[in-house]
Amino acid sequence: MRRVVVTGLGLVTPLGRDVDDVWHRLLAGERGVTAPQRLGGHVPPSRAVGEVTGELWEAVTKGETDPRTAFARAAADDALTMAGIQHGAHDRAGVILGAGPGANSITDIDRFLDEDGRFDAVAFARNLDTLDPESLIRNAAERPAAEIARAYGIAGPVHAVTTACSASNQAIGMAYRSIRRGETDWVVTGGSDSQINPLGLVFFVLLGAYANVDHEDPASAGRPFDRRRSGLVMGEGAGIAVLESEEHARARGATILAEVCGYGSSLDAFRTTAPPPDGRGAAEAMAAALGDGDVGPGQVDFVNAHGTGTKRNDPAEIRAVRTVFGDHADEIAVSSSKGAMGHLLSAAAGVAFACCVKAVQEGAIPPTANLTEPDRMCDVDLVPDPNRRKPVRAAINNSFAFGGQNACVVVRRYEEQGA
Amino acid sequence: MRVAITAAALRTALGNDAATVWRRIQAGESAVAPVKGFDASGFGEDVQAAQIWTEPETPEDDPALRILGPHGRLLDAVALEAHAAAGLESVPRERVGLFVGMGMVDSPIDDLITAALAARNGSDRLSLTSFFAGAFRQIHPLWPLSMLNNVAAGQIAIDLDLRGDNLVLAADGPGGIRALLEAAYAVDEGACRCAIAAGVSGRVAAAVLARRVLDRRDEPPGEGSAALVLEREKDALARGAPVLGIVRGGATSFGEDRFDPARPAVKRTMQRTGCGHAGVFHGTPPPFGDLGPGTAAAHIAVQLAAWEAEPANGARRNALIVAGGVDSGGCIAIEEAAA
Repeated sequence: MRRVVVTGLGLVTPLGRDVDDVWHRLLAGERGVTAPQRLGGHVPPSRAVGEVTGELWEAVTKGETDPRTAFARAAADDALTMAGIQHGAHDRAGVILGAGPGANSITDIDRFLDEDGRFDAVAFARNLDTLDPESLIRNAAERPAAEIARAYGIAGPVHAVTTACSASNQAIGMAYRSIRRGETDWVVTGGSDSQINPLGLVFFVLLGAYANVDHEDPASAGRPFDRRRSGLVMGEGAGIAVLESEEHARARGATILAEVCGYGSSLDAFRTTAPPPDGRGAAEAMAAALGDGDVGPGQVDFVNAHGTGTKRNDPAEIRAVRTVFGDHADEIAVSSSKGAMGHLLSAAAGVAFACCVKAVQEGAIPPTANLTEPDRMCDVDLVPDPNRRKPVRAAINNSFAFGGQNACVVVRRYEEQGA
Repeated sequence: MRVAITAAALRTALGNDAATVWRRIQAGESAVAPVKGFDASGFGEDVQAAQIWTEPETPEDDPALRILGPHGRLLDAVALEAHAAAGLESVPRERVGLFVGMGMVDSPIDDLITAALAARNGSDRLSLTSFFAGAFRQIHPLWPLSMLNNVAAGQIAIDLDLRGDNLVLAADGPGGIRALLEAAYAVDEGACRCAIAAGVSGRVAAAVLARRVLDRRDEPPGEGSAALVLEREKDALARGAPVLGIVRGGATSFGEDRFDPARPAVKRTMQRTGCGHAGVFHGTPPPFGDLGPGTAAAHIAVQLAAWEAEPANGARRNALIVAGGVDSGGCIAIEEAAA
């Protein structure tokens, strides 16, 4: 089996685009959650979001009407530039991305209702060119991956993973396995998502999962692991990485940032919208990832938690951490970036993966934003502000989805064989 | 790679078991007919599909059915049937994986229509202010789950208590092949002991036809699903499971050949597996319609039934199951089981 390394990273997040800049803003405890700004003054019931706005929005969307595709393209451009890869005939490369399924457009449905309030399929069919350019009908989940492949001449496996909040980690895991078995030499992977649209903004409100928002301080709405947490805050963006076989990276003189050494996934088989309270499925995914990489629990110094800030996820995740790491759980730093940026849904684990790479590179762990009163059920080192400086030999990136799909990826410091 | 297929199940407009579907294909029957259930004439005078449901969709009262939707029910049915047929009850549930290919889901729009009308607030167009102020509450609280691709897979896991390795790919035909390949790799590389690999194409609705128009795909869509159970050949033989066929490997590719997007994947599959041209089952529109991500598993199930119905004398036969997407292709090689 071949070793798999990371040679490029790219981000588009509510905290910015440049990887080092976003990383340092996270370490500094900055927060990118605000009141919604892109809806022309309309106020959705989800009154705090992690949006990509202003100059960054203008810079990354440039003529692309689907934000999810625009974010993926921009982050992939940065990751491939960092990796030193240009357009070419790349028949042993792939693009495997987590992506949101896309959204129906409520305005399209409204436009095609007849006088009796029924959907007029004939009028709809005759006006396809006028459909909302952001709707899922015009933007399949595969589109971000396909656009990247087309732009760079990538001709191997090009696919979209749609396991919601664990999609990026499953995409990274699929890419890692493809390179490890020798099917590909490198893969652009991670994820991209945006649900800042009318239906997306009521999605988690309907499910009763959105955070309560203090109008005066929307940035404090998402509070992972805090006693006063009330739900998640939605964000948008992309987290993209270039994974590559060690031999391929070394042969072309690429800078190796870290090694990906384990992947595991599991199913909760419990409830669609809640994890088992004992975190059984999460523990099984973490254990599978560590076992896959032959990494002992004692070698892990950082758990980049899924940490959504919902009532049920957070204690279940910490139970899982204790199950997997035993006494070593007290030595591990556990933090979540969702307080700072919101939950980037299908992109969340892609962004968190970049944080894991930076953590093992720099020996630093970002704080869990808005964590002021840790829940007593979450009894590990949750890294309240400020950040933590400590060597990170290995980090595990957690992600768990509505539907019960769990996926974890292990990243460790890169060391040459025999060094 | 030698991964055994130990069960197959399918639901199509041409039948609900592979032997029946094969017999009807041989008899020249087709389920492709003018679209029913809504006025599809805006998509063309002769638009056709192979449909299971011919009545207009109505939202379900049962919460589980509402979440699953037609696509989820089709998927659940074949997964449960394949699981039972393979006798997986004895395999530890943590070692059984689930790999699914699923395209755009058919979440009901009736709820959205009610909300849109409520948000008009006396005018003839929806007001976002009214929508956000409360009209959105007309949407059923479970509607969000019905539009997530992975939720149907999660429901299968709940129904069968599956806890292993898993993946859901947003998929057209090549993506469906990829879901099968990922399942085969997971078994072959030890990430799980057995895997259910499935694909589904849900109700033919206006949105589905719209996507096909925008993708310039003119083959008739179908409603249906198919599932295979995969495990290592030696494991299957050790537990006495019936081996219906062998997966030898495959490939997916992107954009190298504008005129035949599947050709690079076919070439790579032949190089990797040594399987030749004989028995190529190209992804021509089948008489049960294009099931998108379910097409490859359905083709495999039917191919296995065909081999069983017409035994060969001599060497084991093989087949290349091929699918082409808008700008991507996929191919998977299967081999006949030993007599």
